[in-house]
Amino acid sequence: MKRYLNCYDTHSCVRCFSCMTNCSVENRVRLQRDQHIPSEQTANHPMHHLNYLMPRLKEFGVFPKARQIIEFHHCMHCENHPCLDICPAFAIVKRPSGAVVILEERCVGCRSCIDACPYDVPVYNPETNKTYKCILCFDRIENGLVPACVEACPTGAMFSGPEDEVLKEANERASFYTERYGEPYVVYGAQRLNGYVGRTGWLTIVPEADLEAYGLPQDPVKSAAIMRGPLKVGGAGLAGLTALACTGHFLYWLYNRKLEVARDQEGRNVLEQGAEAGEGTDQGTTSGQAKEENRQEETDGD
Amino acid sequence: MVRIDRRSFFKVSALGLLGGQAVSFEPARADVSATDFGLERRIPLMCRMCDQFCPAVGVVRDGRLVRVESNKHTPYPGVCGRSRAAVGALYSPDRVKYPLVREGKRGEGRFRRVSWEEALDKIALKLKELRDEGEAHSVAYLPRFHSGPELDEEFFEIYGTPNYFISYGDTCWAGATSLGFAAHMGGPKASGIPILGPGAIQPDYENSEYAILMGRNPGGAIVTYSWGVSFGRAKRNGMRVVVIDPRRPAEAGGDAEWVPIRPGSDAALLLGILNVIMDRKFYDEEYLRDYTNADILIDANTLLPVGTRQNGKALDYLVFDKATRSVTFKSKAKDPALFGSFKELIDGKETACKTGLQMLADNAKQFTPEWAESISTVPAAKVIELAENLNRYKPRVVLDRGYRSERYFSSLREKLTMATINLLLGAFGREGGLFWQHPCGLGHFIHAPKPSGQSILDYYIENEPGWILSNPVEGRRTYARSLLEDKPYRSKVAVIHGQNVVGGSAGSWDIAKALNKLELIVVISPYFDETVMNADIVLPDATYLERDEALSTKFKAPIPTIGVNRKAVEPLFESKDGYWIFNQLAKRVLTEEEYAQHYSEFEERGIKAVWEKQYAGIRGVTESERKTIPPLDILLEQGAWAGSKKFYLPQAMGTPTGKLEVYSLLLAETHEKLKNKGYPYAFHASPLPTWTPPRYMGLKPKLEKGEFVPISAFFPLATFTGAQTRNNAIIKEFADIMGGSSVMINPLKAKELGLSDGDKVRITNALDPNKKCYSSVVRVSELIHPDALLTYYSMTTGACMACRQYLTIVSKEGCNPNHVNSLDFIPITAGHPSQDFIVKIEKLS
Repeated sequence: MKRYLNCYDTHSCVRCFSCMTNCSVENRVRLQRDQHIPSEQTANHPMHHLNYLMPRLKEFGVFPKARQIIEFHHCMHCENHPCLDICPAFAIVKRPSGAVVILEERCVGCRSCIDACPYDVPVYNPETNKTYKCILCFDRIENGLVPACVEACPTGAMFSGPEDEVLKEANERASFYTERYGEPYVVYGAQRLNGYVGRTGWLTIVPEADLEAYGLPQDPVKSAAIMRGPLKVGGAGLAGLTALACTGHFLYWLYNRKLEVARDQEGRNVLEQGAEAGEGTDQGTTSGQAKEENRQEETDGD
Repeated sequence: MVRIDRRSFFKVSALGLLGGQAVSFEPARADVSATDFGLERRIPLMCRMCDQFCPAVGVVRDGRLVRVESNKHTPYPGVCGRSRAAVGALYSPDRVKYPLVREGKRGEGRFRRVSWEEALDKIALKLKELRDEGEAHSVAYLPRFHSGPELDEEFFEIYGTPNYFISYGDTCWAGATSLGFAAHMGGPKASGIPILGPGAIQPDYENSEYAILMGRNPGGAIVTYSWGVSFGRAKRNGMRVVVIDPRRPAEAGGDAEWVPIRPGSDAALLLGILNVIMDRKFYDEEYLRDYTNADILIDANTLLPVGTRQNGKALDYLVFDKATRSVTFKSKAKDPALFGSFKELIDGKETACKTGLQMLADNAKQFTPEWAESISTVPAAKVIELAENLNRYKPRVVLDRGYRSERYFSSLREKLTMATINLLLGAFGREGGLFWQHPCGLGHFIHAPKPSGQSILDYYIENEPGWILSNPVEGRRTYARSLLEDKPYRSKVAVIHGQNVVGGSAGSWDIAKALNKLELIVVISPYFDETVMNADIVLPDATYLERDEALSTKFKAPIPTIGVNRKAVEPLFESKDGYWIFNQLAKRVLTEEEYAQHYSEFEERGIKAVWEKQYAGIRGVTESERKTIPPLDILLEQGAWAGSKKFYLPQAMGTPTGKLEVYSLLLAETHEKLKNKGYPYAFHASPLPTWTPPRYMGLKPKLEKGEFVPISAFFPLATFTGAQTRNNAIIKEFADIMGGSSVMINPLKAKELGLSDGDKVRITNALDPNKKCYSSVVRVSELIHPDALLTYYSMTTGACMACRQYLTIVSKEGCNPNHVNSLDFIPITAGHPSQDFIVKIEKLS
């Protein structure tokens, strides 16, 4: 599959929020499809973490010159995906389309991706101890459908497709608006922004003067995460070795422990047979011991 | 047992680890295939999250509705966020689930569950009794979006009440917008009054260069999504947008221009623009000469035409012919003067007269941009700039007709002036301006006999000067008034179907009091609301998602459309659709012969019989369009058919002169009639540019501390007072983030009152402190005029305490201005002055 882009055109959007509602609904469809939670059970509950596209209301200026900007807040599907790089659980992957996806079942809830994201996108849900963000509807686009937000847009303000097509349309619109309104419009994310994010997989057509207002920094970085970069390189080897050594030792210990338990088990069986024979005075202690060992076995089984 | 040493164990487990990783890296959802999406069933719908019938598709998976999409079988495919959230409305835990009968007092909301048999028998008994007593007229039917078209009104017509259809338009579009444009452009007539439906005149955004939006926000209240689609295209095509509104609608986009205006003064601004257009000759002379009655000679004293005669269907009128320098009939004149003041012998009497356009120009002189500024707070320079821009881009300009026009005493004048300016610019009936919708029609299933007797609304039109040009069917508030006055007769039963008469009309509690005089109130609704709380019998209605419906042409697209609504899922709980309900009522109430004649075919063949008759009677389409209409069974599959023709014709529809009337004869005559009756608001019907101030401006010389004009707007994801959007969990998530249930005020006012974001206030009617909303959260914003207090329409239970127990999702904070308002009427149109009063806010500790 070729690189796939989403594009949001702030100029022709009528702010009907159809895209956002549909995203919210599509994630409920997924709950029914993948987890067998029927839609009537999800339709009546807020699911903040599953709204991958959210509005951020901002005001600028003073009456009567005041302006409102509604930022469409969503994952940018960065080319250089700092969230993927930082994830210690290998829970974030890049699909062939360029969609950067958190695999829910792998996510350990450490929130490193939140630290790394220069757009403040991933949302942590304490109830599930997992982090969520837009998956660029990779299940839909890989099967020939457009993302739910694009499907929902009644005005063509949101469009998507193979890289070349979307770039062409986006650039044409931006240059037309620039010429028409005498004010520069740009396609945010079409060109490499910096080394941290690269280009973005979700473009935005926006007046250049309003980039910041729409939450689109020219140089998106997250310093905390950048600090971790060199540390990671330097520490990675050491940390890796240490981890490996620890794991190895742990597993070795486990193996030995298993043997011990097996030996104990043999002994216990003998004891239990004795208890059944009628010598019940020490029964409490014995069963208590057995319980503890059972617990131990459960742990071992992991 | 084999012992493994540390080293060899390590080797084996490292391999295992790698292998494990390789397998489980496969994402769980990658096994979703195209087949999986193909398993979804797709059912054609006409969305009724609001009342616009936008063609949609319901997607069903494992027997459940999972999402709603737009139907691509129209050139304007698109449904908004409301539509997308239909799942939340269908599966709402708060639906009316069973037939209910009232237990407590009306308004308390205490009900007991009964069987359908019991509920229907009770209703039927009462209806039969009244019919037998010759009291059929005392029954009224008030339907809306979820009724049973083709079977329901017809039932009441056969039953014999002239009040078989009382609609909601008096709280929305049926006064100012309808009459404001019909007075100049004409329209079909009912009870002698020209009426225009809400989609009759449409903006051609997509071909326009410049749009001025008043009383309209493009996202939230663009209303029907053919317009939303067209507006989006227009922005892509480079249309420039100016929004004139007391608060900045976010939907215009960050790059649109906002001109803040004092509430209720739009007409003043338009009069200022009219002044500049006349003064600087921005009008289109050729258009005025060819298509309008600008040349009509008017008696300067009576404001009536100096002479007319019938010429076929239309009136021929006297003009001043420049070719012969004499007064002659238009049909004979070679070169009628557009301008000029004359003293001519008419019927042997010397009469001071002017052309209609001259009258307009002379009277517009007083409304200078400076005057407009003094009323509207829009700077004079801006007034001039707007007029200049209209001139620059004409005729590809949309001076938008707006929506939900029933707001102020000045609303009619606002729309009249809008229509006039559209004609002066030559933008009406031209590409890129406003144009006539080209609707089509369908056949009917039942041909019911017209009931005899005078309807309540017709009585008011004939006898009350304030109702003189009110819409003869769109008058649910007039119905309430008639209940209070027992005029023209005493009403006994109301069957309210899908309308929230109480919560959706200004003066909610006055209306509830009026309804309380009825002997029986039946409400058919899928959801609880203010009106249900006052019902004696509640019938659980199936939503549009749970029913097969008659075909409909109601979608307001610029081209004719036929829409289909099929059942996506089986009705939930014990809900039943309107067709089933009215078939049952017909069985119980009508005579055997009547039933056999009108309903038995439906009983036997179901909705298919209705579809066939409707399909056979398709009319109003061009020959080439007709060829594209698929056979019925295909139409039922694809869910929508759309024609192709747009009517770019600067033509009138049945005005007295048969022309577009820059000088409205309907107004001239009405004005004369009202003046003779001594009606104090006669000047509201003046055919000349006139300032008719909103009522609130006359109540107090100036707003006092803590006082505001309560303006309202549609939240982009909400609609009228149905619970389908206000009590919807999916929508509520976005509403909470965007302050959907809060009240917005300007920081200047907030500071004066010591209020900051998040504070709670009580909102009361400044003149009637008994009318109040107890608690609302304040949002302080620079995006609103200091005189205005904004509430989004229908985002809360407001002051309806009984609603709280039934609507568990909706915000309990917030205010519904209808709850605080009174049952008053806008002169001439009898619309509801939904924003034309003053509220006072107090901080709650």
